[in-house]
Amino acid sequence: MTDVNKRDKTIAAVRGNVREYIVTYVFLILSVILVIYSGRPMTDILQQVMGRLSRNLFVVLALIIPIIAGMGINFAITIGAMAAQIGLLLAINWEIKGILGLLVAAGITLPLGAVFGFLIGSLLNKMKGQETIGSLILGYFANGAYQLLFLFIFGKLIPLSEKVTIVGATGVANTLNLTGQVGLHTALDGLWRVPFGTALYGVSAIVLLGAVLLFAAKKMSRNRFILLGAVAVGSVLLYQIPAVQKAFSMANVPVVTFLVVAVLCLFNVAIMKTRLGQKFRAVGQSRTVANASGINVNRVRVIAIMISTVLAGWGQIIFIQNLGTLQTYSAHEMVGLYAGAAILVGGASLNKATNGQAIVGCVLFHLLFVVAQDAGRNLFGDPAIGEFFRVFISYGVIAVALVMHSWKKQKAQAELSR
Amino acid sequence: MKRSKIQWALAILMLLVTIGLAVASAMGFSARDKQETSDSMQRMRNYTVLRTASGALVDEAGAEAKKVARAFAKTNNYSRNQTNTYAAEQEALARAEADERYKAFQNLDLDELDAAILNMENTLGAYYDLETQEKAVYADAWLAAQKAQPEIEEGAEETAALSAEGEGVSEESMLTQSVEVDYSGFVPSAQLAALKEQTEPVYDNLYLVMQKAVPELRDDMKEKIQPKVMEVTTGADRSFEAQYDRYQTVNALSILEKGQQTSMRLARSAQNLVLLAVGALVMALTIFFYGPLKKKLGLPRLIISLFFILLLLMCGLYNISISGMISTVLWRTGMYGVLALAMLPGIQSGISLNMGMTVGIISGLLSTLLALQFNMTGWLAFAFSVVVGILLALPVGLLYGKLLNRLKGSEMTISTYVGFSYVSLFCIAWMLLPFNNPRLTWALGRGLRTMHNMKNSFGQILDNTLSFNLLGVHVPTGLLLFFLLCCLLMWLFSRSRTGTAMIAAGANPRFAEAAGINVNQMRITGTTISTIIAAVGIIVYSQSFGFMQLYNGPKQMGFVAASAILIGGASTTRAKVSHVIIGTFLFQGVLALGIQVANALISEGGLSEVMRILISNGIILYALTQTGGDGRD
Repeated sequence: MTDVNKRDKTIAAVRGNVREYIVTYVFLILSVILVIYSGRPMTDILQQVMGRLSRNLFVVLALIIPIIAGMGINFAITIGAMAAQIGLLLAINWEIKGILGLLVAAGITLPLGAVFGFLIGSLLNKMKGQETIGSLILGYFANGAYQLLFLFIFGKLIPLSEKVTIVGATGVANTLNLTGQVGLHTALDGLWRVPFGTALYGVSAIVLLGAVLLFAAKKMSRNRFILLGAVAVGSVLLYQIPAVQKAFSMANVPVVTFLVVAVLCLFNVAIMKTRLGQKFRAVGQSRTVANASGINVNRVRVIAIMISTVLAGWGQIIFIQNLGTLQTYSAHEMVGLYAGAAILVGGASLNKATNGQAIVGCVLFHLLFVVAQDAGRNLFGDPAIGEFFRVFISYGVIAVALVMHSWKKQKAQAELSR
Repeated sequence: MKRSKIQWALAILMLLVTIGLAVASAMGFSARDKQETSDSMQRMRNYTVLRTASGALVDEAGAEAKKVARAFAKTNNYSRNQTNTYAAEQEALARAEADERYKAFQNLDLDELDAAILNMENTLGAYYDLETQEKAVYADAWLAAQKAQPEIEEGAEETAALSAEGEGVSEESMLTQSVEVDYSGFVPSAQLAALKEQTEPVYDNLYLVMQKAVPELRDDMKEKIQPKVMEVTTGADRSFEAQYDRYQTVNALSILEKGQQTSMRLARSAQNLVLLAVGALVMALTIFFYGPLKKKLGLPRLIISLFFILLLLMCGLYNISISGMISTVLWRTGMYGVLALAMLPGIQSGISLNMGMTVGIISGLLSTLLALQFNMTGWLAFAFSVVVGILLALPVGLLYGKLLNRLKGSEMTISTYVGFSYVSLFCIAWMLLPFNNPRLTWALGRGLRTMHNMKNSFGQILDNTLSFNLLGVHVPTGLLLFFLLCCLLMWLFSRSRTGTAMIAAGANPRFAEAAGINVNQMRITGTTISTIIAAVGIIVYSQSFGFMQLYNGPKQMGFVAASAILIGGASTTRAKVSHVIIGTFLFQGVLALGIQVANALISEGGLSEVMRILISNGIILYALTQTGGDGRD
């Protein structure tokens, strides 16, 4: 009797899990199919995915706090990216090289992003419940202002060196090169690179050590301890298989970049333990209740957006230093879309998101990105189809997430009124 | 209606400025008719002609000095930089010296010069008049020939080829490309050539007189300075302003007395002063009636209306042809009007801004593609596209309406993303659908082209119906009538029983439910109508624009339509037919005028695109903030 009960429970749990992460599972299956049809060697794919992870993960993680604060997906992170591009432009203009140049850019991004974030947050407070569309259109609007700034104000009213402008034309050059003399390309990634194996052993050891310490100090539940230990030991064991080792042979890990990402993950966890984090959660769950308990709802929401905007700016700096070129007028355009789609793929919803979901989503989303073109060529004879498919998937995932969120809410409301 | 003191003071100040400007311009206009003015003008002209002659001598002296200086530098082994600096210095010195020397004109017989110049002016004037006429005829023929060419160049299309991310071809840049007429094939008629012959002896005569005034002028320089002299004596434009500007290039005003200078300046800027006066008057009225205006229009609409007036005035200041501008604005209003109308039933039925109208647009594109696939032409193709487009949009609209019914409260967010997804899904479909007419598909590779020329099917068929020119304004009667007919139908519908029920359901769903109206049914009706109008709208747009855009072309259409109706005065919950008409006119007017003014201000593309982005998204943001803080959650 108890056995049957237990089995029922497990089945129910699995069913619930599948229902909640349906998007993720569908995506997983889709990715596997496309990886097979792309016909590309695993070493190549994994190397690409690793590179894409290192440059995209930070921005995706920047979306978590506004989601927890109940503001949906903050598509206005494009504005943070714009602030970062202003910082990078000035760093190139002043000819500051290496990691120092990136730090200067990040330093400029901080106040700019904070001010922009304050403005975005204040505006979004005037359209509660419509933040997703509001932030999207705000991003478009800011794009206009950005073009105005870079085309007609930089170089004309604010003098810039010949390094970043085109002689004989107005405005900043279309493409800014970060390689060579400029010395910003991989300024962060290149600080310390290790092969994948070494990184895996290192991370596993740290995770294991941390888990043991926390468990010994009785700050971690047993289930969690076992899970973490199994993951760490299991991944090391899995890596011993020659085929797996071979697949990862080309993947290189930029340690410092991932350390920065890890710090952000810790930040996301730690801030939730503070009083501010509690406020984020309270506001996200119910504005009315939060208001009644004496929380200044508007202020908390503005702070959430400010943090997110600055973080997104830093993420954009990581992205561009990895890429090596800055498309001055378009580099920021797709930031919101891709980051938003990635976190939703990982199973986040419009009011719930974790670091783990962001990481899983980022891996799956970029895996699909890497293989879509080749799969398109092999399945339909044209790589452009894969390209369109990528864009379709990005929009489609967001649309599906929005629809499901709205459905759930209506159902909850209907039950409430009953 | 209480006005603050500052408001009063500012309004009165602006009124005083208006009066001042008006008086000044009246003085300027009256000065134009005075004998003194025409005398001054004549003096300026004489001076200009002689300066042109002596200018050639100055040039010569400068060139000579430069040569000498370079030779000197060479013998003294100057470095390259030194040589250049030295030569430039010497040249400037020699020029200044020569300038001084030839400034005083000797033995000047003014009467003789006057007569010679006048003679020249008359002969040349006749020549220029005829030339302008003939060139206009040539330009028309050239443009017609250009239009007759079947397809746009293959190359241009390839460069604008597939880009899945980003916006593809910028529409604004396509709309504003001005066509440069190529005059290389222009052949003057016999009559024109004869007139040109006649100018030769007249010029000989003038040159003799000029030689008298400037004795250093040699015979061999005659040919060289002829075009310059012809240009300053009589240009193709003989208005007061143009003449004045021509003479002013050599600073001819400086020879006049102080008082005379002022009155000439005034006369020159009379027309501009009128425009400035109108501008100041508008400012004064706006400040005085700021309260009620803001209440009635809302701040963004007030700003946009003022901006529109400002642009109109700037057009006047920069001599941009007003009739041409009105033609463009009318054309663009008709072109975008039906698309903007598609927003109306959406708002009325309560689904707010229907950003997902792209699902209807795609239906319209599909039906047009079918018409092109079967090589239909003319009215048949147009009618076929419209009818099939409506039939295709009907089921899609119904389904889409059903979806929106399950998502009450966040329709706008979802419809935007559903629209985007649908467009990118059809990006794939355009590559895979089995259209095989070689006019539609890429010559190399697979899939449909990005841009399709409508010339051979139904391009401009509405525009050219009953179109006529009135005072230089080209009125696309058919297009405007079609747009107004659609508006009338929508208006009649909103008066019908279903229409009133739908508006009631949109305005207050709970009340409507209580009154026995099926709100969900009404929302589906509104969405479906919106989708159908969008399908018709894109067909009208394509025929007017002359090209049909696939792939990412329709992606932003929802935003354009939404901004138009919002600028017209609609909110996300309330809209009327008049909002569509006013809004489309104002929005397209600001864009069309803005492009021209921006081009006159700074010859740099891109500003118009920036303006469109700012206005379009700004007004949507404003509308969103108006839905209220804690509104729909």
